[in-house]
Amino acid sequence: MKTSLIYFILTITSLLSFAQGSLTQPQEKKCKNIIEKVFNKTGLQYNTTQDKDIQRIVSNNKTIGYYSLMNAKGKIGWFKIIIIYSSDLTIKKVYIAEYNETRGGEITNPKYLSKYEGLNAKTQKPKVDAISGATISSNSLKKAIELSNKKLIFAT
Amino acid sequence: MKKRLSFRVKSILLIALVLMGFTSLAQEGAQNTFIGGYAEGSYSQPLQKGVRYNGKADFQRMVLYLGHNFNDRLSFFSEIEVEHSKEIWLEQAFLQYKVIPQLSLKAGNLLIPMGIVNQTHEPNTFNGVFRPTVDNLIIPTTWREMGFGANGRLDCLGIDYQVYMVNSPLSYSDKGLFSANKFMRDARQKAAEAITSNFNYTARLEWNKVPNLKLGLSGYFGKTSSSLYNGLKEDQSSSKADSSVLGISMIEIDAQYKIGALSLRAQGVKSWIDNTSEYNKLTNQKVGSQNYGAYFEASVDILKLASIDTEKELNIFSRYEIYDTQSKVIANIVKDDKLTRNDLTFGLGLKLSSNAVVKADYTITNNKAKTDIPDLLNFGIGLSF
Repeated sequence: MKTSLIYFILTITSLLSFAQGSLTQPQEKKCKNIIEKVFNKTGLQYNTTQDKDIQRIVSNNKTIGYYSLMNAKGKIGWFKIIIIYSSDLTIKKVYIAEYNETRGGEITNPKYLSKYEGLNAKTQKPKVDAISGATISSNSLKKAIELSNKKLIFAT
Repeated sequence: MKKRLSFRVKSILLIALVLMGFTSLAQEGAQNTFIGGYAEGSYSQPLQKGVRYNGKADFQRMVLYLGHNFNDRLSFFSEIEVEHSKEIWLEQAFLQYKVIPQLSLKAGNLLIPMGIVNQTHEPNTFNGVFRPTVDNLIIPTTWREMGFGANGRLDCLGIDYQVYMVNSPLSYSDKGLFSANKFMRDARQKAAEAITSNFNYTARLEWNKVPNLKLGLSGYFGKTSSSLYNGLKEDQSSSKADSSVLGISMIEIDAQYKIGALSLRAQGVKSWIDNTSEYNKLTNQKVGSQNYGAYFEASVDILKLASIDTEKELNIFSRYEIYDTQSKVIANIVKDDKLTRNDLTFGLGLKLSSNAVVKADYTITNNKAKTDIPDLLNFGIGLSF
């Protein structure tokens, strides 16, 4: 009961702050390629969890990790973030699948995004600083990762 | 008791499921339509020894963002602004088409990509109750005009670029709209039935390959527009109309850097104005042939410095600005030393969340003519969402 309510509140929160999105076909292909590289495996399967934003990554019938697709608020619209987790819910990679803002493009920089790697969704809160000159997008990115972590915990 | 509880649980679950259904329907809309905004209000009290001044309480801006994605490539974005609780303006409104990830085309009411604050002016993104004076008098923030062009990111180089053709400021309409003390501030047309005798060009490059360091270079080139060209016949002399037009070249550089609790920001801008001799003769203005502005700002987040584990920030900052809206003059104009000014602003900003801030600061302004200028004590709130 408590879980249902929390899940419900998270859904409402995500509606208000982070609309759920979907990937275009090329974006999805790129996402799957990156996941294969991260886990160094091919022929992976993906199952939806009880939260449609969280996908289970399966190899030989064994869950090896998860990934989430989050939409975060930029200044002029949404941008899409992929967060890849290991099976113990540690962030293995964050990347921006789509960014249409006129400014703040540096948040797509892999070196910046790598600061989130190694963070465990269950035990740690993201503490990456906002980028100077890309405050809006980088704060929104952090909040989207926080929400993704919460969703992941309740979906698994 | 057990029965009642079970009924209550079932009811809540049923309501939750119905609401979730609505939520998922609403999310289809939320994917495509975007709402956001920002707001700022202030109280400003001039202070001068031996003189009493009234203060000014103002809700400067309440801005609503409204955007819509038509599909993965085509989108619309707008900022609708209520200024000083009474004027309604359209601060931005453009259609954007993403050709490839590195290139988008846009057309409509565009921000001139000049400097830091003209483009990113949400009150939680800059220190101080008010925007820097350089971003008011030299770069006439919020500077926007109708235009079209391209923008995008060259990821391998770590460069964001913008290139636009925009309609020009209006230097003459019954009177001269450029002035010695406000430069082109009153000449902005703000996409409101803009008179267009000339289109101008503007571009910006931002290098941000290294996280937390951003370097910007902006340019703006062209000629102003004048109402005197309208209806001018081929056999009529255009000399009066030609005298009412100014040439503008503006170059700007800026840098932003953040390390730990320390944030640094610097900006410099210089303009060259042609045809001022003829223009000043026609309009009785004293527009300078050159102007400049620059500032340096440092801020420290005290809470971070004290290693306090919180989302809040308490930024103490100081900003020093130099600017002159009439740094050089030609012909018979005498340079006004009152326009060679500097501002020292210091204060603090408490960010209650990353998007909401309470501010207080104090500004001391001096000029080369050593005129007594009241200091300003300012308080403000700012937020974006």
